[in-house]
Amino acid sequence: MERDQKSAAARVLIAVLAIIAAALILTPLVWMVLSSFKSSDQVTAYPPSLLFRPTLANYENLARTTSFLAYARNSLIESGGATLLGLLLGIPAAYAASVTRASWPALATLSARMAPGTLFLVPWYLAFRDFNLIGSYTALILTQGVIALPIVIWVLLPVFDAIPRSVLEAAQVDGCGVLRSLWRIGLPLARPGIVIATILSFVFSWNFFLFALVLSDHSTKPLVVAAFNFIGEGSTDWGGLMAAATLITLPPLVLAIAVQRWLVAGLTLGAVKG
Amino acid sequence: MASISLRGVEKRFGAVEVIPSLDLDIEDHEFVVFVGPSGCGKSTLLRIIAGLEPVSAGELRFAGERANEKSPAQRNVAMVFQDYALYPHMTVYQNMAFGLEMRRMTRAEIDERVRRAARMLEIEPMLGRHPRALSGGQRQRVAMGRAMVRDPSVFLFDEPLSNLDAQLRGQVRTEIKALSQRLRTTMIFVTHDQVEAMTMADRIVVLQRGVIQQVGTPEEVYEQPANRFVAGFIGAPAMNFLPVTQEHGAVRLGNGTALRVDHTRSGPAILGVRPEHFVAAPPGQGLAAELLLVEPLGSDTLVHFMAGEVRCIARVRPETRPQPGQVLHFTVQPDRAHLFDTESGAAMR
Amino acid sequence: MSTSLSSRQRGVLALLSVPAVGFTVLMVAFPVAYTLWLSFRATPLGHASHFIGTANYARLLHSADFWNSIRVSLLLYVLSLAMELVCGTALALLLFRMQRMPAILRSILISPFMVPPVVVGMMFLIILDPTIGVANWVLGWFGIAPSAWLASPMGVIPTIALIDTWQWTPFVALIVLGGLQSLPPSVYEAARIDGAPPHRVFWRITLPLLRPTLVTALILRSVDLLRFFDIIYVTTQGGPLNASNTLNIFTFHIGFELFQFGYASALAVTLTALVFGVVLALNQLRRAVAW
Repeated sequence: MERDQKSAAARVLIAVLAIIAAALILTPLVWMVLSSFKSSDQVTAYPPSLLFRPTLANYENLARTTSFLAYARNSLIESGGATLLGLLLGIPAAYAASVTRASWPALATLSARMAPGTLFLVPWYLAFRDFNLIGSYTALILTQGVIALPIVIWVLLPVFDAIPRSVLEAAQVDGCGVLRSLWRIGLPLARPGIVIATILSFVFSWNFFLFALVLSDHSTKPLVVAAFNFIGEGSTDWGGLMAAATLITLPPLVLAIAVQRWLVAGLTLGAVKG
Repeated sequence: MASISLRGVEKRFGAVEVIPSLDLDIEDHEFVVFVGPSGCGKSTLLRIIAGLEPVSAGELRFAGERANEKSPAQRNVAMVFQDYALYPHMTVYQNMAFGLEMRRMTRAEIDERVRRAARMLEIEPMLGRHPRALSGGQRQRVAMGRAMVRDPSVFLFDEPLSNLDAQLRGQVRTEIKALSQRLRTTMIFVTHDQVEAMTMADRIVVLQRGVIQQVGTPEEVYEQPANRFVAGFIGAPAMNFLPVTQEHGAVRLGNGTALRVDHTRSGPAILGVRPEHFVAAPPGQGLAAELLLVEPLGSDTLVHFMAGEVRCIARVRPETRPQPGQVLHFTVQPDRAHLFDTESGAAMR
Repeated sequence: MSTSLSSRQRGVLALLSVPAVGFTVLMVAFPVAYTLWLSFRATPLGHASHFIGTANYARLLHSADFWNSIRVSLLLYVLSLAMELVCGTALALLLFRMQRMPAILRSILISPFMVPPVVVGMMFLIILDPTIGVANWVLGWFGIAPSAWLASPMGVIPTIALIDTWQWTPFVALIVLGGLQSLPPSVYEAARIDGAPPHRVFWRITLPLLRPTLVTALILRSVDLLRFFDIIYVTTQGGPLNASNTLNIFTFHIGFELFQFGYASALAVTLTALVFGVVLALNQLRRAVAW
């Protein structure tokens, strides 16, 4: 009896602590969203107003006075392009590395991921300037592809490794060459992994800031860079800024929550099974 | 339909020599079983024949034609894997049709072949299911079906029964045997289980450390084992081995007991006696055996005893109801005793 | 068993990796080599670059700003890492005690590190604003004097560390939780039978067994923390008074605001050496604590 009571009390305590932790995590995000629905008076009021009449004015302003939609389109093109590039290059490479049990491609792309972006940025800047590609989608997709490729390879390597060798051999006996085995056996079996790789590469290039900061121009800058520029524009329009921040956050958040169970394993590049 | 011949085939994995140099001929329509302990190279040999493993040296011929460079598909082999290796994302039907699709067969012909094989294996109701929805035995049948529809020139089985429970194993064993008699295709079957080898094979190939120890019919391998390894590996419980000195028409054990045995020469040897070839003798004659352990099997009873330094097993009639501690007397059937060279282990004939 | 592939298959498989390898060589290997080369050259604007030996490196070694950035980087690194590991482990232990983690809680946990760092920066700019920020208001309830947060030269590093802790603690917690869940339950049962009280079990059993997982989290966070950029660039751009000028921010400033490519290259090479040095050292540690 005493033990039961004790464990019930412990369960309540654990639940309370978990709710506190969740609240701590959520508060900044909630504050961002709340601020985005405040009028410019309310958002700068001190003490801060908790009860207020929500307004959509900030969102309307974003659409009316800024090229928000164009930036969103840029983000979509660049992250989508980088993801596609990562998948096109990464899927065959991961498959080959898995079948041949070669570890160097994974290690090479891993060190590319660990290096600070500033290490590549000067040569990229100079090369793209020489080819007149500064501010082009090409430059942005190629550089964001450097983010996407390791993610694709690291998510898919364990996925391909998990396919029993005998299944691939059975395909070989059935008359499949390497390419056909990849197309008819490897790809369908790796489909869940490919979905995760796609989402993770998309989210990460969507969120990535540094490369686009240097290599985009006014017509190609993605949302993260555009939002950063909003900060600098004179006296800050906090409401508008928070509205932009909220909108930028939505796609990665929704996508990530959709694959949350596999997210950690993907993020740790296979070092940890989440 | 094809005969297969291997000439001087070698296989190395890096510095490790798995198969030193091997010659073997397999006849058309023959059911050959490769048997041996794990690591003896039997699976590697099968994979070499399948074309999944390139040889390090030597030549492989299918129906007289050099096949070293041919892919598994070109060799027209079909294989049943130990874990069945069914395509998890395909239905049973698609699994069986896949190999035919790769051969650009018409839909109608694929359908006809798949349904015929499914009927033969009694898996028709499962054609629409995925492998994960099948039991182990059903998966095994699908794997066989996938091989059968191809109408291959050679069927290869890589320990296909090892993942089944004992009862099912016996049943599938009989079915495969019946199938082989019906299809009359060359079949090569790899197993570590000598019962499977004995019951199914036209010819058994006994392997140890990549070297063929003996090739022969089950009867030959059982009755005239070429060496001590084969004699010990085939037959359960295993043959008893006793160091002896040969005399004219008899052998003498270390403890002085003499046993009448045919085909003796002179000098030391290893006497091999299967448990069923010990013969009860009247008290005072032959080998006195104080029973250490009695294992009744129902049809007969196994008794354990020491003959000098060696622990022996004899098979006796269950009606005798032997008890531990009791002393029995045994001689051996003179014409069923085997003598092996003490050094090489080769049978002395 | 890679020897089982025929030479033809090997050829096709090699071809499959060619695009990825080619891309990596073009986009990573060449640029790295070029940066290395450039780090030994002077790059005056509008003129051809020329070789100056190790002058760029000598310059950074004699630069107060460089040493400041090293100090800032390491301070931020150690502070953030310590907070994230301690809070992350505590949170993981809490989650591990829950019989079943509700899906909504997991969603909440992954939210912070899926938010673009730029947005995180913006978010905390308004929360920590000295005049309108909600943070000072809340602290006021407890009688705590308002802080300048990011605007304070003394407070800026702890503040940024706090922001990073908010963003990455749940990530560390999920990794550690994975580690906890993979520990053999029989070990706990054995410890219970041995009569060990819960806190002893944690210090003597759980924590030692968890060390490999913790080192993995350490490595993953180290890579990000040593090249800390986005949040600082958005919030303080290295200020106030260089107080948050990390090596990566400093490098960016030299390269893309002053356009001194040679010197910036030397700084980037140094930063990379620092990151890889730490990762290699931690990797040794990982071997040492493996069980």
